[in-house]
Amino acid sequence: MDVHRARFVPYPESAISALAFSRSSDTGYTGIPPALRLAIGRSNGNIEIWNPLVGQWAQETICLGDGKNVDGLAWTQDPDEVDSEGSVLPGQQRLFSIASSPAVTEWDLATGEPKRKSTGNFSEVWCFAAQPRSKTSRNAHDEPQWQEIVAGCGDGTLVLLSTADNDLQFKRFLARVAGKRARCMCITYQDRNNVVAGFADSMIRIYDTRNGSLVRQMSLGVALPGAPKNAFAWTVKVLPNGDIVSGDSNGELRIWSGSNFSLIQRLAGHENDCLDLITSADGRTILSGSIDGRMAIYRQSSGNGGQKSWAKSSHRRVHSGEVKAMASFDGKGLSVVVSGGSDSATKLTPLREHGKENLRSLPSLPQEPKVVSAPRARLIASWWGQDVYVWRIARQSIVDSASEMPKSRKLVAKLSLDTRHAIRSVSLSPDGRLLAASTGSEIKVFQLRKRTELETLAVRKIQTPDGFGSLGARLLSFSPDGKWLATVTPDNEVHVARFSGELEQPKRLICLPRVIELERRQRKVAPSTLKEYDRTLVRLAFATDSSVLVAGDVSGHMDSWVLEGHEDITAAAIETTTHDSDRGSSDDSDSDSNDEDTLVLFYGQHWTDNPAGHLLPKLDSAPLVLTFRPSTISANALINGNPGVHSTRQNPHAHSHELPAGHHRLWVMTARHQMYEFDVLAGKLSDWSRRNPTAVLPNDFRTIKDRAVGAVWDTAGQRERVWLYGTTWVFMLNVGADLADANTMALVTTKKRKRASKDDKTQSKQLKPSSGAGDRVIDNLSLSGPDLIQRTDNGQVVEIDMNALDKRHPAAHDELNDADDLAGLQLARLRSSDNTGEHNGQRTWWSTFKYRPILGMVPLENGVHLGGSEDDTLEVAIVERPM
Amino acid sequence: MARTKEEKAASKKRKADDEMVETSKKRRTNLDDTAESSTKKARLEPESPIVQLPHTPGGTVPEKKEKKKKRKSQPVEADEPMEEDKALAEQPPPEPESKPAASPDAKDVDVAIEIKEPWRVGIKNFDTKTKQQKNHIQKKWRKRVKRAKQAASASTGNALQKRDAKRQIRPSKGDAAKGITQTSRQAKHRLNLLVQDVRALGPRGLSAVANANDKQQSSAWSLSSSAGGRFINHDPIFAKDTATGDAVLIAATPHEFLVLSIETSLPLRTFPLKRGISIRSFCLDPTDSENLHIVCDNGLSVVWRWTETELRHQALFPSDAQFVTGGLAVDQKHLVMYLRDTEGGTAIWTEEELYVSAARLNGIKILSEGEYIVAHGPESVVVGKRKEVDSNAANYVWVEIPMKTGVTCMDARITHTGGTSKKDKRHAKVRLALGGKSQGEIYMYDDITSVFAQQGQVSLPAPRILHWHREAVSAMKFSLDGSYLISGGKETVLVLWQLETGKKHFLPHLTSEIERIVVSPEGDRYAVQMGDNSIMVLSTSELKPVANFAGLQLACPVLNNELTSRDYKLATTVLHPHNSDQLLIAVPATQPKTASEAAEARPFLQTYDLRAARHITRQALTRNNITDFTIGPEGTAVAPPNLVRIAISHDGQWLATVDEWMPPPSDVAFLSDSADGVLEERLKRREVYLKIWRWDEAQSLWTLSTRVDAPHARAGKQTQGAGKVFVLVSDPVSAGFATVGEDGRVRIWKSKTRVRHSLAMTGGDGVELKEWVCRRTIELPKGGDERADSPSEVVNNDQESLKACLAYSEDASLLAASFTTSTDATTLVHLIDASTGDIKATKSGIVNGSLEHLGFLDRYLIAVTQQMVYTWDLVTDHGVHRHLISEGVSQLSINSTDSTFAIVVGSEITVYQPAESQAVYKGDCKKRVAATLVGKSSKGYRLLLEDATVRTLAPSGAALRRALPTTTTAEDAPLATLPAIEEAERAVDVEMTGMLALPPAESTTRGPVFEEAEDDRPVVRPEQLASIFDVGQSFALPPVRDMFEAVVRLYGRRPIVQAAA
Repeated sequence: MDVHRARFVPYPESAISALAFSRSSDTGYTGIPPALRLAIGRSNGNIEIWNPLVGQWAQETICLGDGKNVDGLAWTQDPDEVDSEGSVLPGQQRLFSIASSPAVTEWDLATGEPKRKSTGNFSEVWCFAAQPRSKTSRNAHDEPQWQEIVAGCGDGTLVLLSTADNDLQFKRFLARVAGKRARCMCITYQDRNNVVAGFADSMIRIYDTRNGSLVRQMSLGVALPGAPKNAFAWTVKVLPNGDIVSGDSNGELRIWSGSNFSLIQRLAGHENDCLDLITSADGRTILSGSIDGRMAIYRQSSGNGGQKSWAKSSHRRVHSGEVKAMASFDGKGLSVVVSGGSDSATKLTPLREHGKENLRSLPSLPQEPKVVSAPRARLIASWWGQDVYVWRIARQSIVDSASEMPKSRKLVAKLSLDTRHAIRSVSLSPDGRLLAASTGSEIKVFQLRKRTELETLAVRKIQTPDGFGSLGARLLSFSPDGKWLATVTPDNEVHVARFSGELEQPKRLICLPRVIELERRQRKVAPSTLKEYDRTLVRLAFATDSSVLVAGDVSGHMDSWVLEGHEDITAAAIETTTHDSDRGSSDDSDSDSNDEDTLVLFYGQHWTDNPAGHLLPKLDSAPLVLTFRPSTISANALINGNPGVHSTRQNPHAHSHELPAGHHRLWVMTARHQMYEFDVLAGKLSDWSRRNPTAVLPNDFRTIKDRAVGAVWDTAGQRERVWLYGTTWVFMLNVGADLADANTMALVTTKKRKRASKDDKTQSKQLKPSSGAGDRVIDNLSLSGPDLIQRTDNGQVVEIDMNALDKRHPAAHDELNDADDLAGLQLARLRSSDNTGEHNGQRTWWSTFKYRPILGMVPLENGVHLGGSEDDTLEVAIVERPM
Repeated sequence: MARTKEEKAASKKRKADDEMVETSKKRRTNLDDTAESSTKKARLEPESPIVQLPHTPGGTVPEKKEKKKKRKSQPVEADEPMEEDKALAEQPPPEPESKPAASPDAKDVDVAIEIKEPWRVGIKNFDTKTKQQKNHIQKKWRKRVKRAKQAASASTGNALQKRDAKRQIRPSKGDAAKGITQTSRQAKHRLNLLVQDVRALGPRGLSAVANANDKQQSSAWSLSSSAGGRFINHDPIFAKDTATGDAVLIAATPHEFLVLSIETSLPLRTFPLKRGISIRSFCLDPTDSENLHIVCDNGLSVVWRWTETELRHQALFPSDAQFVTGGLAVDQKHLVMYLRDTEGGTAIWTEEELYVSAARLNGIKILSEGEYIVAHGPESVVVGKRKEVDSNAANYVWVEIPMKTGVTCMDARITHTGGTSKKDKRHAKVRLALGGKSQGEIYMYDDITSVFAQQGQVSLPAPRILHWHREAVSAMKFSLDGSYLISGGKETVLVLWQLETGKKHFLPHLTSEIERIVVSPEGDRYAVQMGDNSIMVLSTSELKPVANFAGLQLACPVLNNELTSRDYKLATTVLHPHNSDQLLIAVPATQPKTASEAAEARPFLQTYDLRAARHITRQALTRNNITDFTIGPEGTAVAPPNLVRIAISHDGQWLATVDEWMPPPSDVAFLSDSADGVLEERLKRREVYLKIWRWDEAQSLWTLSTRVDAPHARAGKQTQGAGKVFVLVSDPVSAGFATVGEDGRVRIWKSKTRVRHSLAMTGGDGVELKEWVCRRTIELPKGGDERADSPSEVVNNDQESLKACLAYSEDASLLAASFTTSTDATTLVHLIDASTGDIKATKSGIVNGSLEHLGFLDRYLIAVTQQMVYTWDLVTDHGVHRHLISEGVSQLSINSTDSTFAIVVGSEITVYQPAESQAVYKGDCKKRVAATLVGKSSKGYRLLLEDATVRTLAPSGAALRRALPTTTTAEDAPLATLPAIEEAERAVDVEMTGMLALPPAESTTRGPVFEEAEDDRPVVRPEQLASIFDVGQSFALPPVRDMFEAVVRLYGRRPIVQAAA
């Protein structure tokens, strides 16, 4: 494989400024707890939605902001509803943000766009907090209690907002604190009625939201010498028992009694400002983060005389910059503190298993590749903000042979889109002639043409049909033959546009004036607190012969469509015909589709639902990699003609319903790193996938924590390899053959467990599911106590396993069993001496962590000899972001 | 054990030994009556298991004449039958027997010299007298001694009279030596008896016997017992002297206990152990705080009543304890716990074995009347909990907790969370703080009692991590009330952690690394033992020093990992010319713990009073980073320059020092790929400075006057880098220094008045400012017979192959210099006129082999090579003697006051007189000698041993310099020794009188017996000289040669003999 290490793409990273879990623990919920998501707000206004997936941490979607720093994030959940059958419909989870303006924004997670803003006669909002959710009432007649939102403003005003009736309304002013320095720095609810707010005049004030009265104010005293006179209360949090914890600009942590608001304890936590802190669900642990990047952990213990007292347990430098925001989730399977700051990396610190598990860092680069390529034209494009950059990568042979060393890459086009919003997606057709870019409200398509005298590209905007251009798109994809453009609108509708050359000037490409919408399959799903968000399409893939289109959504469902008929250049560009009743769209009940019974044919071809689409199963989690295995035989080799389809009397506009021939094998890697391959038109797992379930993936791959971002196929020669990559790794899998030998396979398929008694223990220990952050700390580096202590009593020696306690802990037990299976499997693999990836004389896998951080890895083609001879190697550009 | 008559006598005799020279029974009456008085004292301590063997050798080796070496007795083995010894003792003249002490080769050499030196024959004849004659002479001699003594004690100051007395004595020296031989026989006999006593003490007694053996060799010279030394790495103990109510601190060096008064910062009393036994650990008896339990390295466990110097012998149980601690048991009985190494582990003992741990333990702490016992080793912590309050002591539950983080130090504390009633004590909380090994973390376990919970509920909550220290914490203690933790380590900062709030207080910039911290029982004081061999007592409230006890900061050698003792570094030290008790020594910031360049560099100058054993000042002479961050970017320690040479001018006003520095190998490793290349790159960047300091009386410190960068160039015409300075010597009569460096040049440095606008510059106090310049540079010629195949152009970087020596003659008129490279076939010694810088003569035949040291003594030039010591008579230009010396790094020191020179190789010291073919004294200090020092106008030698102890080797006539009675008692201690001091007051008194009574000048009058070196020169009256020179006009003078010989005839003795021959 030839690799171009592209480090010239100056993709900007932005600092993390806010973090929020959709819920902080499992407690307080009856029945199934609402969906758990993590929202990460960045300084460029983007909000990333992450799914923790019990410690697997996959980025699902990104809500593009308007460039303003996200200062705060909060989740609410609407009151549950009881439907007519008496079953409880969980209330919707809603995400709010503030961004250096006098507005609180609600986000529409399904579209990734701001839903509504609430502004008022107050200055910019510095902090806000959501009211704790009231206990779900079973009684349907009770007034549903919507959560309120309290916002603290720069002029010392506290504002109450109501989220009632799925709206965001100004309710009333809670208080106005006079004074120049009365900026509200932080705010939180002590209970449903009392609000604790920290101010810049070194005061913490308690207000009763019911009557707006000031319950109490506590002073932090003066700041350290050298600092401004007033100590800032940077953060206040409330322990489960009602006690208030504050972190201030002196680096001190103060604990105040929740009942009489007296100071209980002062703790010197940091040498610098303590910016944020979190508490554990049981209220016995506090973590605080400071401006120097350190995070300190405090634990409660019984002090002198039996009373509980807090003590700083340890600290550790987690971030290279400051710790700006922290959030915690302390539940059964997951107990983790998430922190972020100016170093733009999200750090996961174990909470319950602090000291016993490693820290982990989440990639700061987007999980969706922000790089596309036109392999045949050797172009790569990258985008952020309103700009698209297109580079041409020189051929390696030319670079090598040329004496004067031409530049190996050249910026050939830079497009600055005149849009209000940031670009969400860009696609290049493989021949490099078309470039499509979309924002949340616009789609623009350009033709790129090589200029004769210059190396740069001439860019011509292509007129798109009315309505299509203003749809906006979150995903764009050109088909491999460059004729089709599939788009996913922010509302998660799929549209397909056809491009072809003008009649007079075949080189001049146009978009055919008709764009069709492909219907998504309606599914019966369990009620979700995220509602429409679960239907968000995140990946889109065309088959290599451009005849099959597959889209996958957040919940793991896949929709697929096929292109029926044969291309007939002689036929009319657009033909409309009535829908055949015997085909497709079985239970089409989508009301807003206006052409449900008409069929649009483009050159004799038309898109329709995959007849076997309903057979494709729901994936376990959102797909991260959707890619078709390139088929070696070109199925629709016919260049011209419309064989066998002629107009008849019954059917004056005869068109073929022939499905595309050949295998259309869809290779899927999900967010849980499960590997599948589907024969899309047959609606079943492919034979290869049956032989190679996820369990046969090499251990080196399973230990990779960062999720896959994309994949590149290497089909040169007789090879069939897929190169997967994440932000830190590149992994090759030889999928042309089976990944494991028959023995291992047998073990996997029969799930026969061969337990080796002792030497297996270490391995199973490694695989013990963590609480959401990194792996368990290796023994000799562990800061925790010993594993085994020895007790001698009357000469009897007893060895006590200190980890016995952990086993009683309600850990995800079924996963533990899984891990045991895997241990056996690994052992078998060891036995078959297949750990090196060698299998039948061919490498079955290979991995590297050499390249990092990878923004994207895109294929390039040499173009000179397309034949694909034996010595032809895959050529890729790995776009790294220089640090 | 019943005491035999012989033993009594031996004890008496030993007392006398220390006072004066070896005595026979007959002679004792002639000597001081201190011996008589001390016998009474000696009788008091018969039962002591700690037997002080005579540090002063009981035997004698008066081998002054060649003949005698044949009669010299072999050192008596411990196992030699008693009867034989007795028989020997009855016959005063010793039987001729056995070989000389030196190797057989020595004999041959001596014989060779005999042939060469005909003038010695007469002396030989003198020796070959019959026994009867000798006895007769002995008697006569004794009478003369008596007479001389009377004359001396009259002390009228009549020098002539004294000199006469000495002259009378001189011829009979040989007889005296024989008498001594006789007495040494008897002493040996006594010693054998003693050895048997010692053996009866137990198997470990043998080590004492081994020590006894080396006492056999003895002479008129006596080696004092060692004084000083480093404080052992053990917590000192705060105690209260019940008699006076004074707060004292009990600390220990390996050989002695010190009771230090906190009020006066002075040692109240000391308690020396017999040599060969080192103190391991000690603790106060929990019930009787006047008793000190002591554990020694030979397994002895004793109790010392430290307030009264009474020693009680305790059962040797366990016989090989490593560590002892005390605590109060629940029934108010004392509870003393020991740690004893077993195979692969450690046992905890009280009266019986309580627990055997699989891991090594090196510390133990008893909490709350033995309710909990916490012990720690480098990798684990063992906690014991007493099961029932009323049951016997052995009823413990033990939990062994492995600590992956390592443990360097530990402290534990118990708090009772409930009320004070006994019931609630069950809810005790044991707080444990551990120092981690790696990064300087302190792990504090809030409560470790949870490890004693029911099966299934055992847990150990995660510790609090107190992390401020950069490197592993050395010491750590809870404050008395438990609200603070006090820790210290390499950062020289005492950190006080307020545990409740997490706030830290610091006491920064202490003088050295903190090694031990102790909190006083009242909680009002902290004792901090530091790496510069000092203990500082701080008040808790103000963190102000209350007392400071500082010892000699000599860098003790570090054994490197291979446990091979490397070529040890000699101390860079000099005695002050005015006060020969004042030692100026280059010391490291902290006792090195690793054998690295950074750790072993010595950038400081310590001034130390040897007589009072007190630290005077410490001053940095080069840059140093004791309180700075000393880790470079690559993680290597930043090395300060190393002070390698030191010299002080004759008037004590100027100090010259040479310091060297090279960048660490890691800094230049990228420049070269070979080890030699790296060394070359380092040498190119070597910095060498010659600094000359003026004594500033007002500030009492040395102020820098002149700094000479790279005083010598590098060898082999290398232009980069500075060359080594091999020798730095001080002009003995005027302010001036001379150096010889690796470039083969001798430079003479003199001061001159600084001039500006042709006016002398004056300092603030009107004193003329001086600056130092190189007055002369003398290029030493290359060795004559250079081999043809080794062109001189070849760059020779091998430092080892270059050797240079330099010495001033006593009147500073001559400089002897030699410079040899490995290519030189012969060794040339150049004699340089110190005033003109001309090479007056170049001698080639003085020595064979490369020269190590040169020195002038009288008219002799003493040259030391690896194998030999050569004495060369400069007047006759003949070799006088050759003495074989053992291999190793040798030191030469010359005492012109008593006309002797001493060669020290390793731990062996040999004293010669230039005119004598046999050594005057041979001895072994057992510890290697780091420096041999000679004070101006004082006899004998000061030996600085590598364990920072000081011993004095002096001719028995010379007053022993040890005036501090606490230490003189060590010397005086009889067989079953005990300090002779009962009360502190008396100690002070004696000290005062000692100081006053022994001015240096008086010492010459004390021992007239062997004082020939003192006023050896014949009295030459002016008229005698006039008779030579005033013979007429200058043109009529006789030949210069004749005149010279006439003068020599007047001044020199031996040439006359030779001329006669």
